[in-house]
Amino acid sequence: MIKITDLKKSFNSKKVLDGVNLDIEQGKITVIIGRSGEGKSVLIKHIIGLLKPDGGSISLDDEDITAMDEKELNNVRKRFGMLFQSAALFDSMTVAENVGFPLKEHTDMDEDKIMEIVKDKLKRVGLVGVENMMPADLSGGMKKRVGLARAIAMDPEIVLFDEPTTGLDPIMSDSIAHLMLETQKDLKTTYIAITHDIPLTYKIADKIAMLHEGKIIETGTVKEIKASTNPVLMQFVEGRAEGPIKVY
Amino acid sequence: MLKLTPEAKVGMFVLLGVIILVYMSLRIGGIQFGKGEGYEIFVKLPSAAGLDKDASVRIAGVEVGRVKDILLEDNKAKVIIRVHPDVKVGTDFVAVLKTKGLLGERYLELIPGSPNASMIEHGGEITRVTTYTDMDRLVGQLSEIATDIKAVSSSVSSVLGGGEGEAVLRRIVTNIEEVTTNLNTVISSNDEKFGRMLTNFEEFSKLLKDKSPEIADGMKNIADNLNQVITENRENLKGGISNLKSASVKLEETMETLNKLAKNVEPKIDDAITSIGGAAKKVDDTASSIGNVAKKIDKGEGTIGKLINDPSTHDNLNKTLTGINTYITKADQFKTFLGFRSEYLFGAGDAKSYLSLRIQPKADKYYLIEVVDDPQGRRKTKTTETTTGGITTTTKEVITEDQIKFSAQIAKRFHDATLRGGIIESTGGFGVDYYLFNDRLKLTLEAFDFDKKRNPRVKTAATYNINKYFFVTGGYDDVISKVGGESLFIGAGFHFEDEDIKYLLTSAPIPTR
Amino acid sequence: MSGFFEYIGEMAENAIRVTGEIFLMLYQSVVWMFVPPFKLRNLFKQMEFVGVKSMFVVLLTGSFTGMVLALQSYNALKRFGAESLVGPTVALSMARELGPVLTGLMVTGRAGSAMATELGTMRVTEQIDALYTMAVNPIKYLVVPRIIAGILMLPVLTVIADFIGVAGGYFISVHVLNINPGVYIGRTIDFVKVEDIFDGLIKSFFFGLILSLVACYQGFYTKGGAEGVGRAATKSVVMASVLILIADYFLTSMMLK
Repeated sequence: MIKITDLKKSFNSKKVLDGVNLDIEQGKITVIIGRSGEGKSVLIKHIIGLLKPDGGSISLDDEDITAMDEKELNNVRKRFGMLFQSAALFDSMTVAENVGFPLKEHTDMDEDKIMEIVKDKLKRVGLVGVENMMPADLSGGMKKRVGLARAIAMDPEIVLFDEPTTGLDPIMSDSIAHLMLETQKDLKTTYIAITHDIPLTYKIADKIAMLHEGKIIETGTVKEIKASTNPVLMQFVEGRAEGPIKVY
Repeated sequence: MLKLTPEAKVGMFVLLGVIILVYMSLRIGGIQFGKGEGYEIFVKLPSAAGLDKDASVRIAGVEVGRVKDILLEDNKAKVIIRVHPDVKVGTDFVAVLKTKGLLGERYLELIPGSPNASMIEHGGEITRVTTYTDMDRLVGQLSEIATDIKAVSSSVSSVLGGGEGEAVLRRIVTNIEEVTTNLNTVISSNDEKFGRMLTNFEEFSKLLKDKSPEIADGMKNIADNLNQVITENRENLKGGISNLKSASVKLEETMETLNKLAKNVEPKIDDAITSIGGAAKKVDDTASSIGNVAKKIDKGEGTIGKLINDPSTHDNLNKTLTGINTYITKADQFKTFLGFRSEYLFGAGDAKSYLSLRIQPKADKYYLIEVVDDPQGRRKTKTTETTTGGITTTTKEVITEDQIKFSAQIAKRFHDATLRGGIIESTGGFGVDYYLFNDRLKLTLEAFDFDKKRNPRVKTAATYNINKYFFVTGGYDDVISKVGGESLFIGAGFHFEDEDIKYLLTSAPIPTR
Repeated sequence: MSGFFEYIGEMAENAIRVTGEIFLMLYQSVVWMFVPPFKLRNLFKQMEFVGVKSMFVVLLTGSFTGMVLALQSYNALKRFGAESLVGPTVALSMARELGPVLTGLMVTGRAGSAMATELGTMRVTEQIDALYTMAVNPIKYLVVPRIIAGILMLPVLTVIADFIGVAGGYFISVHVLNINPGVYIGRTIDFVKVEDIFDGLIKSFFFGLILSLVACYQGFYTKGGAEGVGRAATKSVVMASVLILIADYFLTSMMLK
């Protein structure tokens, strides 16, 4: 579905992505793992067109996203949903207004219809009766759930997750993992997540890709990754300070 | 507590601002009358220093008009005044330049004369002017005068003080006595001279009287000779220039008159002829040289001959006339305005923009060319026929689409109203503009896009000029629409005169290549 | 030594970049201003925020400025025996200069800093990125309504400031300084022209543009978390205030030409 070819990006002469190649399959959950600051967020921002690469291409159904102008990109973006690391809920809006925002902006639905969909999406992420609360009154886990509800409000084909469990306790992380699996199964959506949360990865991933030093060094199913003998990958998934990856 | 929506709060807030603004403007603006109202008169002042355009003109302190323009003519300031139509200015009114308060602005005060004096018409002049009393000058002069008086009085007191002063006074009196005696002598001795002068005058006039018949005869002779000359040269003159011919006819007439004159004094001819003989010969010579000149003119010799025979003379004349023509056109204030305005239509939820070029050859006439980007666009009636189960249903719907449209109109102003018509937004149409408050406010009614099936598009608007360049507008579009196109609109825009554009262009750096 | 030149060079580069980015944002805003759909609700919210909610602070500053102007000009004009000119002095100063400038500065302090903070927070918490991912242009959604609100509301606030200033001056002149009320109003009407008020309003129009554009710019390009948000708010107030005063000079010189 999405094919990333030789993607390159530098910030102030620091190479962040140095030729990333990755295929993302339709209807599957792809998890990109890697250390903090390795450019996972940069990679995901390229997929939705927030950043323009220095070289390489990203094609969605054989159309090159990187060459699109703002107008074409906006049409493509309507096929995406994204859950940000901090949920990125609009502070000035209620939960219901947040979830209903893309519907209000892009469809002609009336208020009642939007409210109906909002309630349905909130129920899917396990929230009931929070419609009129403000984001500031929500806990971190609830924010993530509302963020997910907003990301799937338009029934997108692809949902991107930027660190879905960062800042959550292990129990909440687990519940998010279940939520992702449930929502994905219901809608047969393509999910792409970036994380360094290994337990989460093992729980949800159909395919895992390891990003290290600007390149994808290993891809495979959970089984394949667990069986891998790549020392860098092993050090990362086992969470050891000693190994080929230098800790500064 | 009533809960208000943001829209309501903003609406109330804006309304408050507008009410205050209108209130303040009305209080400050006071009585204003339109540019077209009233009549114009002028006054020439030795100095109009401090007087500005639009300064007020007052009678007994009441504003009756405004200064329209100040020009320099014959090294004097020619102040053109527009006076309120109800106010009459007499020919014996006196104009004075005055200052409001001690430091205030300058204005022109008209001091009324007698009620019986005739009134100054439009274009007339106030001839009576009192030189202004400039505060600074007044104060300066007063102090100078005071110094002088002080000096004089101090010297007087020093002269008159003491016994020496008394002696001086006595001497003065003696001197005066002497002076009067001398004057007496002068007058008596001149008495004789005056007498002689008068006698001489008498003699001179007698002489003139005696000689007058001689002079008359001389005239006759000249006339006769001239007559002869003219007959001789008639052919030349005819072949020469027609102008001269008519002149000669006039000469002949003159001669006849002179002849008659001569006949009246015939009895005194006799002794005159001999004395004139010599003079007559000289006249003869003169006449023949006139004949020569006429021939030369005919041949095109000399300056005058060239001037008359040369075809370039006509060309030059034509050019001069053309030059005068263009000058007159310029004086008629040929102006070009370039403008842009945008109107937000609440009904369509979209903005309609106009780019306009206004060519104004005369103050009361202009051509308007506009490019309009209209979201409502040109309305079309679309007819769809659908046949379902043998029944044909015809549905008609009106489609509006965004379109670029053109307007080209001719407009003519009558007093405060301008009538215009031509192509409005790519259809035929016409409109009326009515101007208020010195042309600051313009009320517009226009109709276009005529169609039998629907009503024409009628638009009403009010436009307010904030200053020379910027204006705001608002109104109601498509008032009698049958297809729901009616909409409130508000907008704003600006327009520049070609002079301004030139100024902008020349002050901006322009790449040379 | 080379460090010094580097510093100068960086400063110049920074100034040029900021100028360019501000004008680019203005250009984008103007373009997006005319792209449908138009969500008036958003605009009205901003107009309420910039206009209605700034009214109190403008009333306070306007009235006290008018009052202090009356005191000061009375003190100066008394020496020439021209107390009757207190009214025109207050009215002209308010209409031409202090009304628009003080309103501009007060709204910058109140609404401009809040705008920068709000947009800055949205930037650092990825809310602006979220708008992009939802195919909503943040310039159109966030910046355009704020700029229009600034442009439209500043003249209205200025009219109110002018009025309350003149009223304050009147109050002090008549009730404290014992100037004849008829003289105060009469002289004011004599000297002040309608153009004086409108010149002030044109100024305030530009001040509204400057303060909202600068606040949006500083907020929109905030970097560095919560600290960056605070910095953006401060910068926006300083920059907008300075630009308003500079623009005031040039607008005044153009109007008095």
